[in-house]
Amino acid sequence: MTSISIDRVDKIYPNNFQAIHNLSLEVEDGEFLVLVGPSGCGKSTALRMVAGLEEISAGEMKIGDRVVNDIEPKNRDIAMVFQNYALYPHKTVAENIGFALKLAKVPKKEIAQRVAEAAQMLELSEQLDKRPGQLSGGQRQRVAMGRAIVREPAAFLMDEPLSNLDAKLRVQMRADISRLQRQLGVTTIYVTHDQVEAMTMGDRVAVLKDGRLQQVDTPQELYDRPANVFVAAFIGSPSMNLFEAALEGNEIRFGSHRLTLPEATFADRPGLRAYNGQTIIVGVRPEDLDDASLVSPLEAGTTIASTVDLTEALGSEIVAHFELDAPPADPGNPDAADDARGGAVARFDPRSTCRAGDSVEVAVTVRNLHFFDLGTHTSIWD
Amino acid sequence: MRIVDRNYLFARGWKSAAPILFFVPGFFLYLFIAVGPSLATAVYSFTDATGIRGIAINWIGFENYDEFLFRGAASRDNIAALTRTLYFSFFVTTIQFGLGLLLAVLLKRRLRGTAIFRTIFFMPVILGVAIQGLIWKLFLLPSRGPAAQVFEWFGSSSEFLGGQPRQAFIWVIVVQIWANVGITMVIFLAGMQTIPEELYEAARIDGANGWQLFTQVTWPLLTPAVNTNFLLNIIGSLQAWQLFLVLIGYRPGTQVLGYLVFAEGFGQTSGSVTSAFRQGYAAAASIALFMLVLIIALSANFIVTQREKKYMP
Repeated sequence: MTSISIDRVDKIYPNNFQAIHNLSLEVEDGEFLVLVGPSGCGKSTALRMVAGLEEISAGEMKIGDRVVNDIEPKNRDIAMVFQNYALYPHKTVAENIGFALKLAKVPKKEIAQRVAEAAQMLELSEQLDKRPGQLSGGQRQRVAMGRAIVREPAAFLMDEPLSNLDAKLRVQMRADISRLQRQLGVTTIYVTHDQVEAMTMGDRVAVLKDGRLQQVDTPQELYDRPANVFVAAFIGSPSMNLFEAALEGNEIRFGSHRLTLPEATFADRPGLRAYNGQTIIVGVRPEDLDDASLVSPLEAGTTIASTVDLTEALGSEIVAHFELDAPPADPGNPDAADDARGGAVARFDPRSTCRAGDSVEVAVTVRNLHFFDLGTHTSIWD
Repeated sequence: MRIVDRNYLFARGWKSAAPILFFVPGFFLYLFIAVGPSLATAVYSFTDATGIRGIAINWIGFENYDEFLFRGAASRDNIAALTRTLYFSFFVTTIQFGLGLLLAVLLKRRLRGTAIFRTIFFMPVILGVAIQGLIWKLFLLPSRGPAAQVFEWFGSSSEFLGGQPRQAFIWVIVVQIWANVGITMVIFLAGMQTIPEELYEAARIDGANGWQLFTQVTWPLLTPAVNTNFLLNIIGSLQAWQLFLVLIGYRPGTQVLGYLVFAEGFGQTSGSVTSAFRQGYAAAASIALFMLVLIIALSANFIVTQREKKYMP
C-alpha cells in the first residue's frame, strides 16, 4: 500500500518566513503518525504540504513511490479532515460524503452504496438527508471522517480534527478514530497540539518546534527518553519540572537541595560523568515525586524539604505545587508561558494530608531523573 | 428586591415609552417623504393636475389610464415604451449580473493590482448620473470623441447616441451597466469573503477542478449575494430613466417608462416646442410603472426564495 516519505523539505513563504526547516519523516504503510507541537510550530503547514495545499520550497515529498511535489491535491490520492470539518453547508450529509465519488464519476448506484456503508460505520445512517447545519459537533466531525473514508484513499491527513469538540466527546472520538484507522489500515498523518491525543493515538509521534523536527519516536520512548528539554516538557501532564543543578560526583545540588544519584543512572548515561563539576539541567516528572511520609523504605539522599504552595485534589491524586529555590530552565514552549516560573509540581498519592503552607518532605525517584546539557538543551546519554 | 421593584415601576413610566418615542421622528419623516407622496401620486393619477399653481384640478376618474393604455397613437408609443423598458431591464440585468460576477471572480484572486482594478470598476458608482452621462456624451461625440477615433482606425464611423433609436438605446444600456456594475461586483466580492477558504481546499482534495469549485462551492454559497444582486438589478433597471435624459433627451423610439413619467410630468422639449405639464397623466404612468415593477419584483422574489430554500436551509 502506501508509505509517505518527506525528505529534507523546507517551506519558505514569499515574505521569507521559513515555516519548515529541513524536515525528514518516513511514515510507514498503515502507520498512524502524529505531528504534535505548540502553535506556530509548522505542523499544519507540514500536513498541508503533504496534501498539496502548500507548495514545497525545497526537498522531496513522496506518497508511495511517486514524487508528488508538483502534483495537484486531487491527484495525490489522499483525503483530509479539517479542523472546522469544511463540510459543504448546502449539501446533505450523503452528498457531502459522496462528493468526491461524484466528481470521480463513480456510478450513482455505487456512490449510494459506499456512502451507506461509510454512514453505517460512523453511525450516521439516520442523518444522511440532513444538512451539516442540523447536526451536532460530533456528528459533523463524523461526516468529515465519512467524506475521507468513503474514497478509500491511500492516506488520511487529519488537521486537529477533534479540537472543536468538548472534552468528553473528544476522548470518545479519539478512541473511535484510532479504532477506525486500525480497522481500515490506512496510512495516517494526524496533526494536533494536544500531547494527550498524540500519546494515545499515535503509533509514532513526531514533535515539532519552530519548524524543526525535535524527535520522532513511539509515545513511550518520547516519555522515557526525550531528546531534549523541549520534548521532555511537552510530553506529560503536568509538565516535567526542569531546573538548573550542579553535578558534584554522584550528587546533584540545586538551590539549597541535594540528591544522591544511584550507580544505575551513571550506567544508563555514561556521558553524565563528563559533566562533573558543571551546571546541567535536571528534569523530574511530577509522577516521580511523592509525599515522603507515604514512601517506605526511604533511601538517604532522595528527599527534598520544602513548603507546599497549593494543592489540587483530583481524587485519584493530589497535584501539589511546592517551592524550589533552584533556577528554573525554560523549555521554550510558546503555549505555556508560565513553565519557567519557580517551584515544582508533584503528583502525590491521594492519601497525602499535606495542604498549602505545610512543610513537606518530597521523595524523589532519583532513578527516573532526566539530565540535559545546559547549553544545547539536549539529553545527556552517551 | 425592593430596589428592583421600584426600578421596574419606574420603567413602566416614561422609560418604557422611550423606545417608541425615539421612533416617532423617523416614522413621521418616512410618512412625510415616502408614504405621503406615494399615496398622493395614486390620488393624482385620477385627476387632470398640471402642477401649475392657479389651474384647477378636476377629478377625471380612469381617464388618464384609459388614455395611457388604450387611446390612439400615444398609447401605442406607451406600450412600445413599456416593451422597451422590459428589454432594457432584461439586458441590463443579465449583462450587469454576469459581468459583475465575472469581475468579482477575477478580482477575488489576490494578484498584484487587483486593488487598483477594484477601484477602477467601482469608480463610476460614486459619480452622479449627470457626470456619468457627460463623460459618455463626450466620449461618444460623433466627430471628435475618442470612440469616433477608434471607429476611424477600423475605417468606420458612427453617429453613436445621435444615430438610429435602436443604436442610441444600446449605448444607454452600455452606460447603465458601466455605471452600476461596480455595485454588483462589490456585493459579489463581499459574498465571496464569507465563503471559508477551507471549503475550497476540501473540494480541491475531493477532486474538483476550477469550474467545479465555482459551480459546487462558490455559486451555491453565494446565494445571498446572487439574490440581492438579482433583485437590485431588476428593480434598478426597470426604474432607470436619468441616463436617457442626460444622454439622449426626449426622442421618440428611445424612451422607457421611467423617462415617460418625467417627460409627461415636467414637459419635454422636442425641437423648439416644449409640451405642457401633465402631472395627473404622469402620475397614472408612474402607477403603471409601479405595477410593472411590483409584478416583476414579486416574481423575482419568488424565484429567489426557492433558491434560498434549495441552498440555504
